[in-house]
Amino acid sequence: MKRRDFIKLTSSGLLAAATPFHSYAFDLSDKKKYLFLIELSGGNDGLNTIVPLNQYSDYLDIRPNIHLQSDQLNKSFHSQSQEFAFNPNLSSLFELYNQGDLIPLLGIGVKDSLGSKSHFKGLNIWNRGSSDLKNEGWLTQVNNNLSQIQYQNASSLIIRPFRGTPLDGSDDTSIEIKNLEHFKEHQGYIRTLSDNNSNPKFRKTIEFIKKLEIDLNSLPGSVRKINFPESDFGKDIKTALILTSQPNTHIPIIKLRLSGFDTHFNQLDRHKKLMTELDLGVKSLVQALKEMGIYDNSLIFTYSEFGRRPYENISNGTDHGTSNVQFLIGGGVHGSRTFGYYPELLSNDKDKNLMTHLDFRKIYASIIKDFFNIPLSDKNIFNDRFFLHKDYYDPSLSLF
Amino acid sequence: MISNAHGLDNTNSFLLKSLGYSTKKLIKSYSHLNQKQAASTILNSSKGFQPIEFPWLDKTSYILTHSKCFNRRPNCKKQEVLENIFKYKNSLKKVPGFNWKRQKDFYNIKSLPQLKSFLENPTRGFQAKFRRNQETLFKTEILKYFLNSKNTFRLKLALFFQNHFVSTLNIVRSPQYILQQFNLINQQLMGNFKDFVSEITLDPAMLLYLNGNRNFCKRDESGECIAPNENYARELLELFTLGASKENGIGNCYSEQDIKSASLALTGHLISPKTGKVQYRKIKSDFNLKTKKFPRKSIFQEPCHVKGFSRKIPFNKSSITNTDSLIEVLFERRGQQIAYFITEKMLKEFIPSSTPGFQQEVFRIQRVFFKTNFKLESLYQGILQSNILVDSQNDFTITRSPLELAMGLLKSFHIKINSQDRLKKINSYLIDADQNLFNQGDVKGWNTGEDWINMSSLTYRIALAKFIFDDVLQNKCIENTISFKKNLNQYLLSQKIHSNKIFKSCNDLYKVRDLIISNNQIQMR
Repeated sequence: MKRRDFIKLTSSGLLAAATPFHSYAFDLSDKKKYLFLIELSGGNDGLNTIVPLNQYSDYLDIRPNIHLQSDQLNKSFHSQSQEFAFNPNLSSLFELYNQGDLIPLLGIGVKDSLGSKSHFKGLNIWNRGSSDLKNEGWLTQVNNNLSQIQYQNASSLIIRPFRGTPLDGSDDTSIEIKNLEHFKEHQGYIRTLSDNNSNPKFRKTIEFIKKLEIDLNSLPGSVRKINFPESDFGKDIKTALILTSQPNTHIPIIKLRLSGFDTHFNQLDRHKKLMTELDLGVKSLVQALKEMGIYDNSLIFTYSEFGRRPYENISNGTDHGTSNVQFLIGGGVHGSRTFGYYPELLSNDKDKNLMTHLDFRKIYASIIKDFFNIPLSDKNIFNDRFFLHKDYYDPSLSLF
Repeated sequence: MISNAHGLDNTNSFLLKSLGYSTKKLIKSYSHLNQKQAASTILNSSKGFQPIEFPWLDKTSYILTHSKCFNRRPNCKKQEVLENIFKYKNSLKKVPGFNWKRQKDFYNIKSLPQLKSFLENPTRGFQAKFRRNQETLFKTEILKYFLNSKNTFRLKLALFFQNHFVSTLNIVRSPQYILQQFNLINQQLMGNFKDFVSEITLDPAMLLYLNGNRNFCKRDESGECIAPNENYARELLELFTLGASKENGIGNCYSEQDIKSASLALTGHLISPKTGKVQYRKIKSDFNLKTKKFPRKSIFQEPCHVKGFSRKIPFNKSSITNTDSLIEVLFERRGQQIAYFITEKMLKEFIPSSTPGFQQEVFRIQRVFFKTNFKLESLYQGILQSNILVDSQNDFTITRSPLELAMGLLKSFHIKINSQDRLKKINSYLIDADQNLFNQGDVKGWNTGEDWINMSSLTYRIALAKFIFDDVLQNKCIENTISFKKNLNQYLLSQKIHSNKIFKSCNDLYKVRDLIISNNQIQMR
């Protein structure tokens, strides 16, 4: 495999962080992995995504206008001797839970003072596992480890690029794309141009555009028949699948984005629409992965820059908060159980926000070790990359 | 064929008159003046502004914003809203860019109940189409305005502030309010930044965009305000004035408590559905009817020491009641951070932050900006007079925004675009290249500089450049391209592109087009 140097010098000049993953020889070729990241941009409202039925009366107290009614909350399940219910529009996700393919992550968030209620800082923290902008994305090192199997120098795919990703700082170029037909059309012209670029970023990007081979008809017929949602999100999922199914290729990390979760007002209607969009999107994605025979090697992980305030505001919405609910979904996942635990709705922090009971970086460690099968480091890890150390791994959060 | 060694400056000189110009070259073009005089000349010529008016926008847009019927969820229960729409039905029909006759159902509406039932079950895609057409028309009109704008420095400043105080068509849903805000930005940008922030805080588009018009109070038993909407307060501090970054020793200097206090102080404003004007309703604000007082809210109590600043923060005031006192205290207690944050952000638009001496320039300029009590002219003067801006040692370039790229090419090659369809096409390329005008993806606005470039956006940027050239070449290759050829010739000379066999046939012109496009310098300024 390609050996890379990750030695980085901090501003103080001290050797700060070498790669936690040594040049470990592992082989993924016969078991290709696909991690689908879905960024729920704007900060999803966890409380109306999975409702804690045990605390329903407290829930009604803090959400007098924007609660889900009890007769809608029939997609219920028990876990850790508590009762929960999925948002009524998450029927496919509920089904996946019952089939044992989905793990709700409860009370997940950013522990200690690291957390931020800023969209942009919050997103950076989730992307890096750290608030230090000098750090790379949390998947960057994984990505570099996976680059033995890269697809024309790219081992990641970003649909509809916008701001940062967990792959920031990667040596590899990501495939960044919006619309495949447009891309193919313009690529044809770009390929006829001579190379005159003096600027390194332009040069690198143009070279990459020229080189990329894309077969628009790569999807098997059975997948093409699937009813992908008409929304941008549905189209993006299809674009991602076309690219992941290119012959003789493997893109292990795919990032999608569903935006509109910053529901400061009129939350019930807007959130309903978003939940439906997420549910239909995931449904079609799972269906396609099954048809493509890679569902068992795939993992879908949702994340948001922060959770929302449990108390509703005057505009029937919610302001920025802390801990949240997220999902891990996949054919190989040992589902029908929950990780973390649901915060007490009435025992909040000083800003009236929910407590965090599951550090998001623990899930990162599980994904790296369990899903990608990359051993966590046994060496000292500096800075705040401690979650890449093997001692940080929590066996009770094993995905399988 | 192309020599890059000296091409850089010449390219910029060639694109001097367009929006995509290089400020460095602009200053140097005043060869008979020194830098200070040139800066004053540029600034003086940027004063004076005639508000932009699109008469067709007046009534229709207002309906778009305030009628729930035109929002995503049809909900036309209010008689008043219905009556309004009915009243303006005829002016709606006159909106250009939309074939109303095709919308037969709407066209034939004769009575209020008919209208009600139509709007509750509108023709499929009717609302979306209506909005899309209005927005596209607005954008093509504004593109025309940009193209005809004589003062590109002023335009550059206006676009900077439009990307600073972001409010988007997608959320505001009213080109009228967006235009009104753009006019406000243009009026304020030669004034004082504190007044600018006060004005923008109560601007209708901003109130709509960050829910300032929904920031009311729930009362607890003692009549105190609880649970306002924090949306505007947070971005006012994080994005508009203080910045969230802790880099360079500048702390963000606000807490969650400060956001809560600020959001209380901002309560009580709404937009009248009848007039579209902003109103203040004390009863909706945090004024306590039991105590007959505005609660005093403490804010910015923490001292916020910033490395490199010697001035002390005044401690006499740290409590606020309403919006005015909030802005007052914000600038009084956090003025240094504001001056620094705005100066640094704006200087980056002119000089890459990696340029040697950049941070010292920020310190120098923000000091004057702060001392003149946030007089924006002093900020621009500081930038235009900066040594590192014109220093020949600093051979920097900055990536053009897609808009600057388009405007640069159109103006430099004197390409006239009159047809609505072509303007629409340019608009759609701009959207694909990640610059959806007046429709940023989020409240932080577009990241500029090299961040404009990713695999997807660069593909569209090149396609945009090709489209602009082909617009001239395709249809009118032989007859009407004499001035175009002249411009090409001038460009090639400036680029030191040596070629013997060009300009003979249309095919030659296509080759020249490709030469220009493949040279990344058209993407930079």
